[in-house]
Amino acid sequence: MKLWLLLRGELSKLFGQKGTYVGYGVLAVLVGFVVWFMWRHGPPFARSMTRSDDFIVAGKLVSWVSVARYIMEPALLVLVPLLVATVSGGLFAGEMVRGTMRTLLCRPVRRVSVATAKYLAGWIHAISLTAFLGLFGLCLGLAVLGRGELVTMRGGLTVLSEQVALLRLTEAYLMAALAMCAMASLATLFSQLVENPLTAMALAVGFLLVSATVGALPYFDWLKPYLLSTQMDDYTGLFHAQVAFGDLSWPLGCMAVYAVVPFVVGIIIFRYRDITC
Amino acid sequence: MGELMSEAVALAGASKRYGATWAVRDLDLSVESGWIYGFLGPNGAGKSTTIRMLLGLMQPTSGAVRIWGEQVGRDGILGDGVVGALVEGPAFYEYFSGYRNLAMLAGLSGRVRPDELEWALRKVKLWGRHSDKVGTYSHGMRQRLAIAQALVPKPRLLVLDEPAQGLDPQGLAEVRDLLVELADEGMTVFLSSHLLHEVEQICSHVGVIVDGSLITSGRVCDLLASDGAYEVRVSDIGGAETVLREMRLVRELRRTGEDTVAVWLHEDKPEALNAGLVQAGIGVQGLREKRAELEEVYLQMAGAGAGEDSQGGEGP
Repeated sequence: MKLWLLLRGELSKLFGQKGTYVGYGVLAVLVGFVVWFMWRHGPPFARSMTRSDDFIVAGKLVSWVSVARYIMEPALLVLVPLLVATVSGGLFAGEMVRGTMRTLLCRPVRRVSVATAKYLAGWIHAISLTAFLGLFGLCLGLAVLGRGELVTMRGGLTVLSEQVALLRLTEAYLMAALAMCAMASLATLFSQLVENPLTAMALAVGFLLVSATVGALPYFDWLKPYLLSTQMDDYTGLFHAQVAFGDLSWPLGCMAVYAVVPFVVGIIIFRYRDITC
Repeated sequence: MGELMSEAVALAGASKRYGATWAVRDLDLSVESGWIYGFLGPNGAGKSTTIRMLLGLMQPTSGAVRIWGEQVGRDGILGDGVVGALVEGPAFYEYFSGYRNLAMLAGLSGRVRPDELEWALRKVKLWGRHSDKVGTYSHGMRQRLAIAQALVPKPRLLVLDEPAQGLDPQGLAEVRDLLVELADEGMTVFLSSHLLHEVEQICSHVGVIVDGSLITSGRVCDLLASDGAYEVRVSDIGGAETVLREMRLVRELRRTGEDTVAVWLHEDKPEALNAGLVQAGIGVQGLREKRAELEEVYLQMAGAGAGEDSQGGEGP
C-alpha cells in the first residue's frame, strides 16, 4: 500500500515538472524532422536503401513503419539514454539537494519502499520515452506518409509486410525499453552516490560512452559481450527476414542484469545510508 | 505498550561519530510525555545530529534511541501518527501547491481527511494561500507549511528543529501559542531553538548540549530559580550602595544598571532591606526578586561546557 502511494507520489513529482516534458518535445522534433525528410526525399530515400534502380519492389517503401524503424538508431543510441539519465539522475540527488528527502523519510515509510518507488518511476519514465518515440513516429508517419511495407538492408534486402513490420517493431521497442531501463537504473544508482543531479547524469552517460569506446577497441573483444552499449542495438536483429530469437536471449539477459543489479545495490546503499542533507 | 509509556523520548548512551570526530557522545536524554522540551546548544554542538538520530535519519554509532519505548531504526520512524517532524528548515516540491505537498506527505502517514489538512493549514494561517505553488511562498510561509506538515496526522510527539526560523514577530507568537495549545492537548514537543526567550516562555524543560554532550537538563523553573538575590531600583544609586554596605543583612551587592543594584541577603527579608533604605532617606522605586534569564544561564553553561570538553560536536 505504502509502495503504491510512494510510486504515485514519485510519478506525480516526475510528471508534475515541466522539465520532464522537454525530453518528449525533443523526440517529437526529431520525429518531425525524420518524417519531413522522408516525405520530401521519399523516392530517392527508397532508392538509396535499395542502392539501385534495378530492383522492382512492389508496395510503398516509405511509410509509417519506416519512420518508427529508422528513428531508432539516431534516437536510442545517445539521445534517449541522455534524456533518461537526465531525469533518473535527479531522482535521489534532486531530493537530497532540495532537502525533500529528509521530509519524506520523516514519514513512517520503509526506505526500501522509497528506493523501490524511485527506481520504478525511473523505469516507467524510460519506458514511456521509448514508447513515445515509437508511437509518435508511427502516428506522424501515418498522417504524412501513410501505410506501407518496411524495407531493411540488414543481411540483404528484406521487405517486411506491414503486419510483420508492426510486430517486429513492437518487439524491437520492447528490447529498447529494457535497454533504457538499464540506463535509468545506472543513472538512479549514480544519483544515490553523488549530491548533484547533473553529476549523476554525466556519470551515467559517461558510463555508456566509455562502454561504447571500450567495445570498439580490439584489445577488449573479450569484454564486448558484457557491455551495455554492445547490447543496446541488438534489436536490429529483429528486422532480418528470419529472426534468430535464441540469439536475443543473451542481450536480453545482459540488459536485465544492468537494470536489476544497480537497483539491488541502490536499495542496499539507501537502506544503510545516513541522511545528512 | 506505547500508550502506557510515559517516556516519550529516550536516548541511552547515544553516540555518533564521523571519522575521528564525535558529533554526539554518550548522550543520555529523557523526555516525558506531555513535556515541551527545549533542546539548546551552540552551532555544531550536535543538536541536529541528535534530532536526526531521533527520527531514524541517522543511525547512532553506539547507544540506543527510543520513542515511546520502541527502538528507532533506519527504516522509517515507527507507526502512523506517532511522530511529526520538521528538520532543518522547510523543504517542499516547489511546483506543487502547499495543499498538494501537504496531502502527499500526510498521505504517507496513513489515511488523512481533507478537514485534517484544512485544520493544519488554518492553524499556521496558510488557508487561503494553500492552492498557490510553494515556489511563490516566502520563507516564513514555507516555515509555516513545514510546521503544518508535521501536524498531520496529529502526532503524539512533535519534533521541531528551529521552528521559529524565518518567522516574523506575529508568526513567532502564533507558533508559540500553537505549541502551548498542542501541549495542553497532551502532545509532547521536542524542539531545538536559538531563540532563548521563546524557549523560556513555552518550554517546561530544557537540555543544553555542548560539544556533543548534554551538560544540563531539567525544568526551566529550576534552572531559572532565584539564588536569593533582589534587584532594587533607587533614586540615589551612590547613596544606596553606601547604606547597603553597612547593613548586616546584606551579603553581597552588585550594580546592575544606572539606578539598579542586585543585593544578596543573609536572610530572606526583603522588607527589612526596603525599610533600611527608606530610613536612610533613599527613595526605593522598585524591589523585585532577581530571577536569572535563560540566556544568562545558557551562556554560562555553554561557555563552561565548551571549556571543559572540546572533544566533539562538529557535524558533517
